[in-house]
Amino acid sequence: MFDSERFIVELNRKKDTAWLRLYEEFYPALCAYAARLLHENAGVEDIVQECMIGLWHSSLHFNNVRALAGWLYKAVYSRALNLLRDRNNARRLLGNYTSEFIYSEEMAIELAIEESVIAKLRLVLAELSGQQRNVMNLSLEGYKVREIASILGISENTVKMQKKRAYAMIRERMGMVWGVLLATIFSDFFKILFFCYLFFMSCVYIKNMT
Amino acid sequence: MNTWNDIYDYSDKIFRQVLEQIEEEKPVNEFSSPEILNGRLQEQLQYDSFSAYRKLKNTDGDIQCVGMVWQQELCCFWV
Repeated sequence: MFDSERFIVELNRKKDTAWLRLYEEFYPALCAYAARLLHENAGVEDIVQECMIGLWHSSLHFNNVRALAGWLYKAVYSRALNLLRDRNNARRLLGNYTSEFIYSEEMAIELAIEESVIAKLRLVLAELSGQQRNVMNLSLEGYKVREIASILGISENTVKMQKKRAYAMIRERMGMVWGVLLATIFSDFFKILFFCYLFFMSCVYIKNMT
Repeated sequence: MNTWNDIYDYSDKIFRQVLEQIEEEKPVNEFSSPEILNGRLQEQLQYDSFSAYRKLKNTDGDIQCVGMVWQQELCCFWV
């Protein structure tokens, strides 16, 4: 299971395993995101790699994955924005007054959420076994159970069973993620409660002393 | 309105909804339709994260090498 707390600690320490995981999870999503912002594929990998290199050489420390994801998407958006502005300025200088569409920050965040959803789907599919992945991929391509069975040369019941198992596995994985999230929230809640109790007891003690 | 730091958590929520919709084969919006999901998935799959990671490590190695050569030249200069 993916341990996000450990991942962040190791990422901050520039550990290879964490950085490889960072690339696996974010690199394709950030490239697709940059391509959407720039309306083309050319140069998107350079933009994302520049952001990654910037992060690698920086002394930035993240507290959690959400802060990291926010930073990465924002960094790519800023770079893409600068590139689009430069392109539009160059067009104007050349007498071409039709400028390329620039996404507002709000729209860019929505777009980032979509790419992040796709990234989660990609990672989950990669974890499935061979036949389950084939069934899920064909299902995502819009094929029905009968068609998938015919393409893969297996029975309809096998397709249904593999689909069921795949969804169960994905749900279990997601459940674990939500469980960890809830545990984190509750542990923070109890920490706050404990400090409130300590503060209250200190106040009572001071009052009694005086 | 969502902020940059909401991206990760909010996409978890959307991902659960999308998953339910594709399981029931009833997409409720354009984004969760199989064609869109598959198209967007293929877009991401064309980028090779491993070779990009190798490039980062090589770049880092190059910078370290330049640093070492620079240090050595500086030492030679002083000697």
